[in-house]
Formats: sequence, structure tokens, C-alpha cells
Amino acid sequence: MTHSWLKIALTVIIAAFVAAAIYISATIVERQKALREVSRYNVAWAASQAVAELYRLELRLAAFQIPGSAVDKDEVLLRFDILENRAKLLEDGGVKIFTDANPEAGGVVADLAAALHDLEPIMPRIDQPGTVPRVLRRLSPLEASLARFAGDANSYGAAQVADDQRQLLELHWEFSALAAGLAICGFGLIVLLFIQNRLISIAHAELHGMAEDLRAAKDLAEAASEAKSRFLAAMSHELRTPLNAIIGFSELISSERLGPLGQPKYQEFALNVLVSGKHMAELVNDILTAAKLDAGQYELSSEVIDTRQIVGAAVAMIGGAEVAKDRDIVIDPDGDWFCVFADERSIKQMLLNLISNALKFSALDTAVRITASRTPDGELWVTVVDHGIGMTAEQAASAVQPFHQIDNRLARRYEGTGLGLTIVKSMMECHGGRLMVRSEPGQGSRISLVFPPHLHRPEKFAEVA
Amino acid sequence: MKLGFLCRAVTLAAWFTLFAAGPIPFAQADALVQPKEKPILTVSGKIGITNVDGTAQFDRAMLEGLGMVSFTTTTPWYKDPVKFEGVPLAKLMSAVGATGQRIVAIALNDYSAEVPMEDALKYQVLVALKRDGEYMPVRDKGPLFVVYPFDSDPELKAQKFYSRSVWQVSRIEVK
Repeated sequence: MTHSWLKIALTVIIAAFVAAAIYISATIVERQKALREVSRYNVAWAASQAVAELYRLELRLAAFQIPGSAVDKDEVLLRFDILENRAKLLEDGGVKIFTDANPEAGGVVADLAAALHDLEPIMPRIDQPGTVPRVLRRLSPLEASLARFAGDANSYGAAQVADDQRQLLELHWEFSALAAGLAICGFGLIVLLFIQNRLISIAHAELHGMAEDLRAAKDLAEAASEAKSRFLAAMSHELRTPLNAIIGFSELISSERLGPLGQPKYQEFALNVLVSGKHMAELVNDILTAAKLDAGQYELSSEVIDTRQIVGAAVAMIGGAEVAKDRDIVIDPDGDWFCVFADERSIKQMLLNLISNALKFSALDTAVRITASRTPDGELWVTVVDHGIGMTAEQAASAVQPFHQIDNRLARRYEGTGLGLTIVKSMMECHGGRLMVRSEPGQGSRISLVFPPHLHRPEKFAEVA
Repeated sequence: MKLGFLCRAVTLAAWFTLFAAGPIPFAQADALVQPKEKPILTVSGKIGITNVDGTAQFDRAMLEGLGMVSFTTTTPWYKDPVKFEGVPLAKLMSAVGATGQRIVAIALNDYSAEVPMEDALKYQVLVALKRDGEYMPVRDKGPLFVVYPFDSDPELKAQKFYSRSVWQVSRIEVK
């Protein structure tokens, strides 16, 4: 925050310096131009020219008087014209500033102009006797004053030049100071940027370290989870071997295969062992399936399955079980019973799971319905509907978590691992589909296997075959 | 008609010689006649064509006979832009058969300035007789003003070229 304010302030100062530098350099250029202008030196030059031309005219006049001289009348008149020209220059803008400031000098210019004005009508008759001395008499008083004028003009010009140079020097100083300020500001900005860069790189290094730590923690957690799954799978497998022995031998005992038991109670005990062993085998199988699904080791085959047929098969299988005794299980005859691409064993297991759940958690006098419908966006929903105890939204959400049953009391009433819905959910997700749970407490549940468009064919099985 | 052709030939030759190395020899023109009036310009030095004592002297009519051109330009000497009319320096140099590399323009007060010969071709330097349509008297920077067309090229607006311009010119020496 402080850094950004400092940066803004520095930028503003630098901008101001740059603007001032541009202004100063433009002024310097202007002044140099002005120095180069000829008008600045016109005063001294024009004055010296007037003096020189006055002397030249006087010399020509003197020579003109001498018989046989090379100077003719034209030459004299030409020199007079030149002096006229120089006198006019003294009335020019550049010189006028000087003569206005020096009344004495102004008087000299006026004197020269008056003399030339007086001589103007006489000059064409310069070859007449007596004219030259008359002209010289009129001109000679001007010599001294004009020479003094030239001297003063020269000093004035020199002062002007000195003044210009002083101003120029001042401007140069100002310019140098500005340039130094500019350099300091630039240096400050660079230092600031350097510090900011350092801070950023430190923060970057810290972030990088944190990301490394997080990645390590994640790897560790994943490894732990995998180890747990492996352990579960291995344990379930190991448990099945003695279970098979328990089931097999209790079956042998209860069926009195090798002769009567004698005591009828023993047969009842053996049957209890058999039923418990079978139930335990189911539980172990569930745990094994869940562990495999969790570890991503569950293998699926993909085949074309007629949903109507497989639902029928599942209903037939469950029909013989204790839970389905005296219960109505209705398969919707008008459902959209399309074919799906899926693993037949898994689909059957999922259906058995859902149907047995529906039967377990609903009253004896209510029916369980199984329907199939296709949504407008092409999904196929195979739904098991019951009118049982139902679940709240929170309960529905936790029902799909592993090792979970809504109510511990239920666990006692409806025995199970609490893995049923978790397994169904994981299996559907393995297929690329999903499990949809809609339920209301006291109203019952509608639990659907949802097959996305790419998992089913809009034809019914008869049409495919 | 004949004069027009001559002008074109002379200009062509002048441009051609601009690119030649060494001294610039101007194409030889016709011999000069004698000035009928008082000469206003005397050209001396490295010239091939003369009419009076090894120099080429021109009165106003002779100069005008070389062909007048004009341009309007701003100058450091006048507040407003002025129109100069006169003989192109290049044309004058060819009329006197100049072979030098430098031209020295000398004023009535003996002030002189050097003009490189290539300037005469490159910038259309004028030996002006008239300013704003009037002949320039000695009292007003006459009789001749060697002047550059300052407005035609930004490069010309520099002290270097201002100092090569000379007024009250009466003599030209080719070196």
C-alpha cells in the first residue's frame, strides 16, 4: 500500500520534471534562435556602417576636387546614396530601441538625417564650383558625434549579448538541476521496483513451499486410503474362506446328511449357524465390493442389456426371499424400457439392493413399483418407488456415505452393513451414470439409476434384436 | 523562340554538370555585347566570356536579357514576405562561362560573402534586380541582391544561408 502511494508520487514528480525539462529546453532553443537573429547585432553594425560610409563619402568628395582624379560625379552620388541607406537603417526597429533609450544617440540620428535632407537638393550640382566645400562643411560636424554614437551602440550591443548569455547560462543551470532531479527520481523508482520484486519473490517461495507441503500431505492421505482399501479387500477375502466352511458344515449338519442328530434342538442350532453364516457372507461380499469400488479395482464389462428383462429377473430373484414374502412388486408395463450398455452383474446387484431396501423400509401392505422413463434431455431413469418411512434431504445425502444407516434403531430393525446405497452410487458412477435419491420422511422414496444418453439406446430390446 | 531553346539547353547543361566532379564548367553561351549604359554588375575571375578588360560587365538591360524569374519569400531583412525578381545565379554563371567552384558576391561597402557554386543550381539563388515589382535603388539594398528562396526549403532558414545572401551587390568574383 505504502509502496504504491510512493510509486504514484514518484511518477507524478517525474512527469512534472519532464514537463519542466521540455519547457526549459524549448526556452533555451528559443533564446539561442534569438541570439542567432541578426537584428540583435544590428545596432552596433548599423552604427559602424554609418560612420564608415560617412568617411567614405568625405574621402570621395575630397578626391573629386582634385583635377584628374579617378573619382567621378557618379561615384560621389553612389556614395551619397549608400550613406542615405545607412542613415535609414539607423531608424530601423532594432536600432530604434537603442536610440529611444538614449536620447543623445537619438539626437545624432536626427542630425544625420537632417544633414542628408539638406544636402539632397545640392548633390546633383556637386560638380559646380564651391559645392564640395559646402557639403563637407555640413558633414564634418557629424564625424565626432557619429563616432561616439557607434561606440555607445557597440557597448549597448555587447551588453545585449552579455545579457543573452547570462540568461542562457541561467537556463542551462535550471536545466541541469532538473536533469539531476529527474535522475534521482528515476533511481528512486528503480530501487522501489527492486524492493517490490524482492518481496514478490519471497512470497512466491513461501507459496511454493506451502504447495509442496500440501502435495506431500495429499500423497500421504491417498496412500493411507489406498492401504485401508487394500486391507479391507484382503480381510474380506480372508474372511470368506472360513465362512464357506461354516456355511457348508452347518448345512451338512442341519440336513442330517450323515445320519440323525438325535436332539432336535441341535438341528435348530445348526440352522441358526447356517442362516447367520449366509448373512455374514453377504456382509463380507458387500464390504469387498465397496472396498474394490473405493480402490478403483472394480471391473465392469459392457454389454447390451434389456432393462425390462433384467428388472424382471431381479424381481424374480428377490421374490423367493423372506423380505418379499406377501409383498406386491409392480413393474410399470408402459415404462420406457430401453436397452443400456452396462455390466449385467452390477445392474442386477444394484436393482436387488434398491428393491430389498424399498421392501425393508416400507409397510407390508404397500406395493413397491419399478418404472423406467426417458427425460427430455435424453437420460434414462430406472426408478424404484416405495411408500415407506422415507428420508429427509440430510438423511438422503448421508445415506450414500459408506457404513451409514440413517438411524441406529433401524440398524437393529433392518439389519445390513449400511453399504447398500454407497455401493449402488459407486457402481453407477463407475458406469458413467449417477444415483438420484428423492425422498420425503413418511412419504417414501424414489431412488433412480440414471443412465446418460451415451449409455442407452432409444430402441427397446426387441427392436435391437 | 531561339532564346527559349537556349535557356532550356543551358538549364539542362547546368543540371547535368551538377553531378560532375571537380570544377563546374558551365556551357559556353554566346559572346557578350558591350554594355550600352552604366554597368551595374562586374563579373571577374574564372570566367570564359568577357567584354570589358577581361571582365564581364552588365548593365540593367543585359541582365534582364538573360531571362528574369521571381519568387516570394520571407527574409530576416523585411517584416513581410517580399517578391524578388531577377536573373538566376546559375544562368548568369553560364552567361559568363564560369568554371570556378565558389562565387564571391561583393557589396558596395566591400562586404563580401562566398556562395558555393552548387548552391546556384541546387537552390535557385537569384541575383535580384526588383523587389515587389520595383527596381531596388542603392538607398534600398540595390542595385543587386543575391538572395536565396528561403521559404522553398526549411534547410535554408539558417544563419549560414542568411549570411550568404548579400545586398547592394555590384561585383561578383568567380574562384
